[in-house]
Amino acid sequence: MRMLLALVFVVLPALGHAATPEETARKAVAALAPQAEVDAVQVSAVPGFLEALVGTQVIYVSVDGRYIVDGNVFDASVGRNITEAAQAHQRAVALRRIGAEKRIIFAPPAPKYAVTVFTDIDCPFCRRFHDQMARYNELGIAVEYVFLPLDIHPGADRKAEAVWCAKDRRQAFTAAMSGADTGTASCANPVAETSRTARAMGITGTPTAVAADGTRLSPQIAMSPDLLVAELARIAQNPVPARQ
Amino acid sequence: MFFPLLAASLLALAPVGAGASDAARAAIQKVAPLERIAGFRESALPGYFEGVIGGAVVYASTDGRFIVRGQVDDTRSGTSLTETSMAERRVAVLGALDPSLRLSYAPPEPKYRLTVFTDVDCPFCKRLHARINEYLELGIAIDYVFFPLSIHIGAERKSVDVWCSADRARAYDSIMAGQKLPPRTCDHPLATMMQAGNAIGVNATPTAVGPDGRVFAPAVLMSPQRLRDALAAADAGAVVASESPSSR
Repeated sequence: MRMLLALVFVVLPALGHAATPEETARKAVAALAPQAEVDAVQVSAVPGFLEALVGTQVIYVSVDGRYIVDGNVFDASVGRNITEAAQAHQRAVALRRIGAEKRIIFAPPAPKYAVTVFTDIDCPFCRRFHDQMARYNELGIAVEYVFLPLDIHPGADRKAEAVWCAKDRRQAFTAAMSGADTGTASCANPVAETSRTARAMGITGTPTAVAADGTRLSPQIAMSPDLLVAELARIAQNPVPARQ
Repeated sequence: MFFPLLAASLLALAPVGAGASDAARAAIQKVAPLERIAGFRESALPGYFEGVIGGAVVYASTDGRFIVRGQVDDTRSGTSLTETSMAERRVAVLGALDPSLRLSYAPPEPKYRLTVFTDVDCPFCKRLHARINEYLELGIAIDYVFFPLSIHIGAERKSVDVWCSADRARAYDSIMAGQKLPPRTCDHPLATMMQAGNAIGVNATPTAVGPDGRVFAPAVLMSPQRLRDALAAADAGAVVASESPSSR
């Protein structure tokens, strides 16, 4: 009995200090950056660490809450940057919130791969990308455009809306990308929403291509149909693992 | 004096059994296979070793599986482990750079001493040097080390012209004031200077490193008065966390 009591006294204070992973991570982040908001916490693949999501950024907090790692963690056993993988996972989740009804899709009859491309009618590289659409499609790539008119292109948001409100969006988009006047049609449209989602994903430039698993494709790869199909094939073989 | 100290610190490290850190060391080496790892040791980050390679701290788990590149902060002390390690590295690298390999501007009795990596074609380096007398009057000695950036084509050549002049300070004064120097050649230490900068991750100019290894923010460096205040605070042992480049 006395032993049991002693045990209670030893254990209770310990329980009193037990913090959930969320509490541990929030407290640690608050100590360093009081204005930062922790959006989600989970146990990391890195032993001894929690993984916290601050905005779109992944940081690591030691399980005791003392150390914060803000950087990239590479797992040599699988040859993967697991920080980038975690961020890709977040992007994949965000991408799923942009349904097909909010995209302008250029797909071949039997697509092998799909890629989301954030685009802006007034961005020269977006136009150059679109010029190659036949080739992307020929290689089995479905290009799913999502509007992200940039602030540096005043009026690009109006053009995006006009294209969206056209009777044939694909045709209006292709015309706009070759410099045709879009007119000023107006209707309910997802341009503001998709722009917000893109910024929340940390995407601030166009064209930005993202694979279905959330992997961001570098512009050099995205701008070349042949490189893009090879990269999409590689990703299909070895996607960023899905997680809880 | 220095060597017994070094020997003692080596002995203190010895208990980390031979081989215990081999996997971590190999993992760090893979980051830059051709470079030498400096400052390899057990990290304050539990379960990790660390080393400086390619001018930055890299952490590796003891088993070598996880490589961490970035900033590690200790929330208990409010300091950056990474910045602490880099500051030590800067002190070591600059300490090993022979004093003769600098272009020094010093007041008669300097209170503070700074190493400034400079590029003769960098506008802010010119602006800083235009006020050199103000720094000197505040008791700050500045030891310039040439670090011509690759974006400034010809800056390396011009640095050699300065170094090979009979009166280096005068040559530097005039080139920083926009004048042209006659081309000169001699045996010069530009490569050694640039190696030192690269070893501690210098990637911009002017970059100023204090005696304790801290790097001063550009806004502080460019103002003689703010710089003097920051140096005085550092001297008093105050933690000037906001001056560290790692601060967010």
